Amino acid sequence: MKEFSEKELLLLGYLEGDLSDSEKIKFEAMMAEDAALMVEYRQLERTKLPVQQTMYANKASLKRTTTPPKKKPVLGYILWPVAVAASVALLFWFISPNTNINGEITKVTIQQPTKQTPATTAEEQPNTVETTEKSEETLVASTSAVQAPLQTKKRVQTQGADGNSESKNEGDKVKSPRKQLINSSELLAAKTVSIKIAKSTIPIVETILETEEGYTPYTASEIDEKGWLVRTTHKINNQLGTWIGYVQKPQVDINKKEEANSGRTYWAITLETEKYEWEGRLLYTRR
Amino acid sequence: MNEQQYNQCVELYADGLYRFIVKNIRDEFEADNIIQNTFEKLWLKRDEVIFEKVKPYLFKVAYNNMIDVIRQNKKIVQMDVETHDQPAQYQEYSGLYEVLNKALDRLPEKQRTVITLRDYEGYSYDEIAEIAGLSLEQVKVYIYRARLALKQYIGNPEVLI
Repeated sequence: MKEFSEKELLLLGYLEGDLSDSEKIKFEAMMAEDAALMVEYRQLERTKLPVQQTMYANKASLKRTTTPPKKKPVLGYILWPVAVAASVALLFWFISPNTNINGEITKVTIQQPTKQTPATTAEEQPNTVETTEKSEETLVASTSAVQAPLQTKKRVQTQGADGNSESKNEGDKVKSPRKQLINSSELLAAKTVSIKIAKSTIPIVETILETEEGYTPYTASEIDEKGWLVRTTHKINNQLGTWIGYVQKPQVDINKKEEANSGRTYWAITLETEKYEWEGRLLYTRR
Repeated sequence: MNEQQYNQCVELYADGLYRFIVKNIRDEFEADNIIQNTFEKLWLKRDEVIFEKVKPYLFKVAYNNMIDVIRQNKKIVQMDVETHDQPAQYQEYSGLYEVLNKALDRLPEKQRTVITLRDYEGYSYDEIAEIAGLSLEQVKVYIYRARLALKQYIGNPEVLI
């Protein structure tokens, strides 16, 4: 490493404002006698980088809260019988063998709907790409499994072919999704997947999901509510798709986007549940 | 550090941290990743990190993360490799700032790191040494070399540093 001469040390120190008063006087005297040194100092002074105002756009996504969400007011006594009856009905619906939402979600299925294709199940569609941790239940419910809760939802969004969302009225049926292959090379590129929740009304901490290949389900431990109605949209191979499912834990959609400035692509997620709306980014790191 | 202090750190340091990373790595996507990872780590370690010392902690974590990313992506810019085919043209720049910005790109990674920490963030030599894992002497040398290189570029931008 370079050894500085005394002159260089004083020059650097003066430039950086690190000299004592006596050293400053000494160096200023040297500059007064040495025109070349003065020029050198003036030139080096111009190399100080001007401070720029840079704003980090995703600051909101960094903030955290551990405060539990405020509970909604308890129903009045008069509504209790109705609530009990609804719970019993839901319980029957949950344990029905025709539904596949009554277990812990352990699989991710990425599917791509078409406009008119009837619903199919995972077993019927061999080219479904899945990432499995424990194989108990199919995460993505078929349309038949989700129609019951859908009919109770006040607003259901579907994704048009042009990417614009449109709202449907209460009780409208949702077009059936068809499970679809996602490019496996894209999945393999995802090693570290972090979900950034940019907007949320519930306390969710950012969760990094390590995957060997593909995606793993989002399993934020803070979320313990069950039976959420989830609508996702995604775009795979330039085809927009919508999936509406009834899941016990939120599931993300996959939406590849391109950053305007850098041109880099990233996976974006949009997730809407019956109660909350999220949006965020699904980032990935290439191996 | 409690939750409120953590969120205060986001307000206080996210912008500067992002500026430091994006200036060094020149990749907004990667910079965003690094910032997210850095604050994720801070959140996980919030019980261990003292609020008053959080800024150098953040910069150190981000710096190490950035080095990992640079190595992974093989983005280390070698000064002697850098563009004979695209010599800087002084006439293209409207002012000193643009020239400096261009020159900054051409500095070796260590020099760029220390000079941005010094000028943008106002860190002392000691703090820079701590963040970048360098000795005090190395910090001084890198800063001095960086300034000489920048000076040379400003004086004659067509001369490769």
